Amino acid sequence: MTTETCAPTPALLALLRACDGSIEPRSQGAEARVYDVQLSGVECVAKQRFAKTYRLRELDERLTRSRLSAEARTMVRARKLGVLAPHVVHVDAKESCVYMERIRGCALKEALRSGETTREDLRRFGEEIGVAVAKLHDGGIIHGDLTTSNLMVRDEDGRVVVIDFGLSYPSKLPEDKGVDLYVLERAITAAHPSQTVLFDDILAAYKKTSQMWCSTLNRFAEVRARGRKRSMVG
Amino acid sequence: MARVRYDAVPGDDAPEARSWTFASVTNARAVVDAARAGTLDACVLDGRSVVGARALDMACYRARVAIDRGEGVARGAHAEIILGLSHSRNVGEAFRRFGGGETSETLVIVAFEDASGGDRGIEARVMELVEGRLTSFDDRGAIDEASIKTWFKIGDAELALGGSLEDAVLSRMAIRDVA
Ligand SMILES: Nc1ncnc2c1ncn2[C@@H]1O[C@H](COP(=O)(O)OP(=O)(O)OP(=O)(O)O)[C@@H](O)[C@H]1O
Ligand SMILES: [Mg+2]
Repeated sequence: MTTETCAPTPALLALLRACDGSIEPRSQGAEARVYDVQLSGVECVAKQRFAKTYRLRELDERLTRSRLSAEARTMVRARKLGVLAPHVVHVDAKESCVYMERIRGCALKEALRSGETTREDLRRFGEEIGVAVAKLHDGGIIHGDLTTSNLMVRDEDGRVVVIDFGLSYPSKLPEDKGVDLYVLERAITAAHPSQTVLFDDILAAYKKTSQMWCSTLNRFAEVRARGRKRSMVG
Repeated sequence: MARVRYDAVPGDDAPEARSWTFASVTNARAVVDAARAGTLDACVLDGRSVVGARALDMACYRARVAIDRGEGVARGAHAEIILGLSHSRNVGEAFRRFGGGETSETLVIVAFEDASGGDRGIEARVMELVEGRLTSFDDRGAIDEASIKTWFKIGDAELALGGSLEDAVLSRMAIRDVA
């Protein structure tokens, strides 16, 4: 990758300079970089998507932009549904950048690995995550990338905040919801094999909260069975 | 006179915005007419519909960026600020909701500075024109919460998350162009 593609775009750069922030991203992903920045005196992060150069440039820019708007819109919808996600503060479509509230805290992944989570903490995480996912699903939103890296534990009150709506999409299909849950289950069993009880708590809270839990959980069981078969065949 | 806190400004030499807030205004109509006629080169807002300083700040920032990029959709920088406060690109609606009206008692007047940081004589013009009590933005009095909630479709589930009304409004303003 050339240094040029790594540089923040002009408006973002101006904001980083104006708040004496580091122009190094705090996170560098496959499709996005995340920077710490201040906007109107408030601590934010700027998530900037960049074009994957191996795709057609024009198609790519269009995809990047539609992803970006979907991500920002979905975060606002999630909060409307009562799901704790960062506030969106500003969207710069031209620079493919979403500015949002900076969550002070750590990834759930780190919290689980710290060895400091009690059974009681797990129960609370499970409850909050199950309720959040059920509200998203009932509101017709599939998160698309439910992992313990895309859930953060907030310092101020220990609450779980859902982040990274970059792969989210609208759907009410039980299949899509089932897959969403299955992705989460796999993420937990793979990354936290001794804490899979967390997923049981998530399902229990989901079942209590979602109006459509029955069709979703039936489909989830099928998705899971398919997944098992596939992994046995190899 | 208060400066719109403008930490968001892109680049050091870009014009900043200043604001003046008046309570107990008795001649809102004349002020609005002056802005409409162009004899007051500033944006005139109804204090009750501006949810907070951050919202105003972000509206100014977005207006600035849009104009710098030649993407402005309203007539002029100051109309662009009013549009920036809205969740839609309907200029008429934005003026009705956020612009000063005949019956406004609190007015927030915002103007961009010129490139060298001067106020283009706006302050003197504002002082001469507005009949009311100059106050600070934070002392502008009650906002019209009920209307703001309706316009921006902000419900209890969202407010129960513990964020402020202003945060909720900011998010609607933010997705205006991608909604
Ligand atoms: N609002 C936020 N507050 C604090 N940190 C954040 C916030 N959003 C993102 N981060 C940090 O940046 C990292 C990457 O962000 P995110 O998960 O949204 O993008 P990504 O995984 O790189 O992108 P994508 O999956 O959309 O390609 C997160 O794991 C988290 O550490
Ligand atoms: Mg992520």
